[in-house]
Amino acid sequence: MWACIKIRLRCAWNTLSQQKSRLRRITPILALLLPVILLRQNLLLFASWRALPVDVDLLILNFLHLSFLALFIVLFCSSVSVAIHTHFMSKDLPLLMSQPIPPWQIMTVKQLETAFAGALLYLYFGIPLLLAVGIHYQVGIGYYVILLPVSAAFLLLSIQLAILFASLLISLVPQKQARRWSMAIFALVMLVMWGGFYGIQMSRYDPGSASFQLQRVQRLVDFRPPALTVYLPATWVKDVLHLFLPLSGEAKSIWPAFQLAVAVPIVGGAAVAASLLVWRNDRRGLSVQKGATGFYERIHKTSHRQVSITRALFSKDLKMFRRDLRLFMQIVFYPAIVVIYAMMMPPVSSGSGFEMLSPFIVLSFLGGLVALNTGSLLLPLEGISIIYIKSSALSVRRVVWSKLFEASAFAALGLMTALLILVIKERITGAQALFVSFLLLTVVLSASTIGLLIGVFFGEFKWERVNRIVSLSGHFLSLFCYSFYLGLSALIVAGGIYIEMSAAAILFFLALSGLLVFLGTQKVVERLDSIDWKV
Amino acid sequence: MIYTKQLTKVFGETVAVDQLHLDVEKELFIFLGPNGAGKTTTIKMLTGLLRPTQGSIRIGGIDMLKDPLGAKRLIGYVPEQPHLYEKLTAVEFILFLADIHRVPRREALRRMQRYFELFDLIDTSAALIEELSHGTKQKVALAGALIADPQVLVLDEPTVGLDPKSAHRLKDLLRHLVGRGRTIFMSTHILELAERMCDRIGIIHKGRLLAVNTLDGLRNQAASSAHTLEDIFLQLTGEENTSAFHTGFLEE
Repeated sequence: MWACIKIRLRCAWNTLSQQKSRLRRITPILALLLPVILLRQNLLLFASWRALPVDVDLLILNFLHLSFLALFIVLFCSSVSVAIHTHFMSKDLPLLMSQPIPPWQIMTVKQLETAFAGALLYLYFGIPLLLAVGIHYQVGIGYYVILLPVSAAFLLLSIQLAILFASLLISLVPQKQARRWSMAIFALVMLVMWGGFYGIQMSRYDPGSASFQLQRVQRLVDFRPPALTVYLPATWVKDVLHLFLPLSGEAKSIWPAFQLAVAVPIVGGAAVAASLLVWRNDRRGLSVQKGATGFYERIHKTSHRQVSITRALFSKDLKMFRRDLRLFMQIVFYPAIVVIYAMMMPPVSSGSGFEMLSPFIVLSFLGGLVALNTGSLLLPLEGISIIYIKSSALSVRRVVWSKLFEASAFAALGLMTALLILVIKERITGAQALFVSFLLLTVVLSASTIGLLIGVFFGEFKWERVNRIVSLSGHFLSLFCYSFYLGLSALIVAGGIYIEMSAAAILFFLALSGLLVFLGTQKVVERLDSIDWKV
Repeated sequence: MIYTKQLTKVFGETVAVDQLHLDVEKELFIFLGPNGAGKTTTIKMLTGLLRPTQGSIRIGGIDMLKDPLGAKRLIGYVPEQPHLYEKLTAVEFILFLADIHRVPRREALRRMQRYFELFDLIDTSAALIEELSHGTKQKVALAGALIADPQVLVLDEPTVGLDPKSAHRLKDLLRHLVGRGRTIFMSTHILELAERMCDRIGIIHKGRLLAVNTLDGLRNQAASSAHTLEDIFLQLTGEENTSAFHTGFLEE
């Protein structure tokens, strides 16, 4: 079993150590900044709660409990599709299963592999919260010592339950369909959670914020979770840590620690048994039923109308998105967030100048993010199949412009829907809406260009999983470049309005964006021309 | 139809293709060479996927470097590995290629039907490409290369993964295409195939073109002991001693 773990670690190490660019090497270190920032934010929040006339201990405990319940849901939902991949679809499985290794050991390693995939999420969001609670209460070393096994148990239980669910799903429906369903459920849950969190508006819980509401905090203090949550590991984690915190109120019991300690091997064993049962019954071998071919009928029905190159590329990509749910979610999820934002957006100021534009900054930021994300995917998405386009009599420039249009179209669709909602909701005038949509489309085009650049320089054309198409450093760099562009644009427009030269400022912003699109696409074309495709 | 002059490609300090001079007419030209000899690099340059470090390429009289789109209009290409869009069906993939090659839809459908029947692809035409076997993908790639009815067909190891029936049909098709005035430039490791169907053979080794001739011409060029293409190939590439090594290895 150790040999199996070692080989996975070796693969991970090789991936990291063989990164040529320095930026790619330091990205994992940069990524550690996020939990540090979250830790600081949590500490500040807890400290500010101290001044409130409420039971702060109970408030923190409830906050911890709710956060872990949310973390459990996210871990569980995201791990189902990962578990389907690692346990039933992973390419190394046929090789491993043919070796003289007990199958339960292989499935245990796969369980650890799945847990490893979820560990990053826990490291980013769970650990900073637990550390913040410990630091805030100035607890003894015992709390920190217990954090490690408690965290491991929570993480393992979340993914073990996900594996059990994945095994059940695979035994009912073909594996690819099961994976699609699991990803759809995950996306839906994430969308609901995002909407929920946005609706809650965390700033209302922060005494330092202008929108702070004490009654909201009181409601969190009085919150009692549904009775069923006592069976969830999130509640057990809260109860175990409660033992080590100097809190009054609820009676402390050793029972949750026992539950955690016993549940891990039992649920883990059940998960291994269930996945092995699926393997032995060869349920995973079920493939999606091919449709009745009807080749001649379809040829007869196919339209004889010639389509343009842009439309041919667009329609091909749409088919690919539709059939890969992970991709579909990437493309649909973010525009949906933009629309949800518009629905929940605070009232738009009726002022003039920058005051009128300021509420749309978040909208343009989100819309641009959609374009950035889609743009970064579209070229590497072609994979090595791009050689068919490159070896055809089709100019690379035309392909790049088609992709730019495509990336912008998805974002523009989300943004225009959001704007339409705002027009109806806030009674924005037609002229205002037209002006804002023009600016938003400019941002979208620029963001798409940055996305295409990132995709072509940091994208993996030989990708196997959609979430690995663009490297982590590519994602960071794209966010940095996009934020810089948007910040600079906001500065130009705001500066122009401030010195009462709005028209000149907007013209300058348009020129800057135009230059970015022109030079960016030029660079993308050059890069596509210079890549040596390993065919 | 295919003309290269001093064609060179250098990767860092490695000269993958060195001063290659080729003149291929309307014929079936087989490009032979051991692994890493520079066959695929040459093919990538011929199809416009890779820019040469030095030298020129003309396809049907059109300079690939000056007018790449004009030159590419004449070419159909089948790569060694059939990297196809996994989430498309074979029909969708072929029609997509037809669209980007601007083949009229009616004509594209007619040709697709013909090639699908020829390569027994009808039954799998509705399945996603990701569900197809390697050989079937290879056949889809072949149909894709033929959909625009190109003047020049560049094939990189096209028979790998094909079942005997499809391989046989492909050979017949290639001969038929040459008969219709098309140019076929094909790399292969299968010497028997080269021996049986080629008009001329080019042998490349370590980036340099060692010989270009008909099979009989190569026999005359080589030592009297070389009768088969395998003998000639091993002799020209200086690997004939490998059989002694092989025997020694087995005896150990």
